[in-house]
Amino acid sequence: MKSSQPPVLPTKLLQWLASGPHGDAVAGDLTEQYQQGRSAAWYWRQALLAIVVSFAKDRTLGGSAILGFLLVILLIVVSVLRHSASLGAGLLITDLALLSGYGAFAIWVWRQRRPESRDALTVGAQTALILAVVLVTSHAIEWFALFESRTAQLVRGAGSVLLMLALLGAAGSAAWQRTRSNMLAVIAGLWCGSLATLILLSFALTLNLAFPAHAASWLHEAFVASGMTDAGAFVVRNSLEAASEILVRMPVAALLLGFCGALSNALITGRSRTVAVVAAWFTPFIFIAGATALWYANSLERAARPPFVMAGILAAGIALCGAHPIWSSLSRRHRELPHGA
Amino acid sequence: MLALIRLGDAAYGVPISKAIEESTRREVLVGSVYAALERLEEKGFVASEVGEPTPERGGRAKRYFRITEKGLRQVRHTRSALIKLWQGIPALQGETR
Repeated sequence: MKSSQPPVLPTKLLQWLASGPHGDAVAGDLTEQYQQGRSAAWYWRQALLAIVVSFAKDRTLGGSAILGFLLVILLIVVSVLRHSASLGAGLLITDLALLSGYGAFAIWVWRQRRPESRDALTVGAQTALILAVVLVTSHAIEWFALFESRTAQLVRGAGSVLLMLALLGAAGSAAWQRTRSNMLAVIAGLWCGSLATLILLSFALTLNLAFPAHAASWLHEAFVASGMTDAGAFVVRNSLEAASEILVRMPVAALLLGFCGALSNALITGRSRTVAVVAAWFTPFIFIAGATALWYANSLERAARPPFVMAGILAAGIALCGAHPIWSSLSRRHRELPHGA
Repeated sequence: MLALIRLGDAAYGVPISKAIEESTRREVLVGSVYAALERLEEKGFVASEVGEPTPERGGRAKRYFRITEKGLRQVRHTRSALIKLWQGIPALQGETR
């Protein structure tokens, strides 16, 4: 048996990076086998591959989010360095500060060991992937100007926002259903929003870097109106502004809707079937009222829109937050009915 | 799961990995063994508990695994399914024993 300790670096990496409930046991097993005569190369290989396996099997996507966070930082820094002479540091610092919050959250998720927390975060991650597909598709359609009519733009914009509200609410509702905890439901909603934001930002910033000429032509009108002289720098400034906007808005929306989803589920679950049926009939009317307010807002001057937009989003958001609990409650009761009943 | 049944009360990461290595004659990734055990644990086929920390493991505790009743039923079911499959191949008759 060896008396020396195993290599320090892979041990530390394993300790910091390996997630899951058995992280400590894996490190202990590797140390024990090293003491029994395994080589340092074997130890390194096992430790690094254990980290890779741990990343791949982590359903909370905490490790992937850390990589996504680093990718977004890298993309922002590269974009800014290309036009550093025309850009101030203020926007960059704001974005990096906001992103550091996302990074800290991802590290916290990555290090979670409690099964109920991991359950809630897994729900958040699964919903985030669907939300990311929605947001990325909407951005790609807008960026490549696939549908240029005003109605098509409205349907795309409103559709993606409404789906976002529904998915953030569903994340909170589904997490509450699994854990019966409002706090974990809100965290699941937040995780859903954060992860989807990181995916969207990675996609949008990569597009801007990969197709700079198209990005400049896409924003040409706004560039002319801005008075700036460097079209590339304008694209980067626009990206940074849009990034800071979504980095602030998404957690607020996720917090509220995650909580609404949990609350709706708590109110509907455990009550009689009549409550779920009444909610199922009543909710579409609230949604239609919200959608009508949004539609009406679109016909007004920009300055007159905010109250109708806010009221529309609130009503539609509340209705959409109820969608998952109602569907879940009715389908569960349907399954519980005896055959032939 | 067969390795867990063979090892009984002594089933933790190191002997499980060694048992698989001996039977397959290939190097086993300890991380992959735990990933598989974690999935089996989620399905209720396997249960685990933490042992005492020991100095030769750098002060880290062992995690002992044992097969559950549900897991045992699944092993029996898989065995009978495999036997049926082998019996369907005339050229391999008698080689399952």
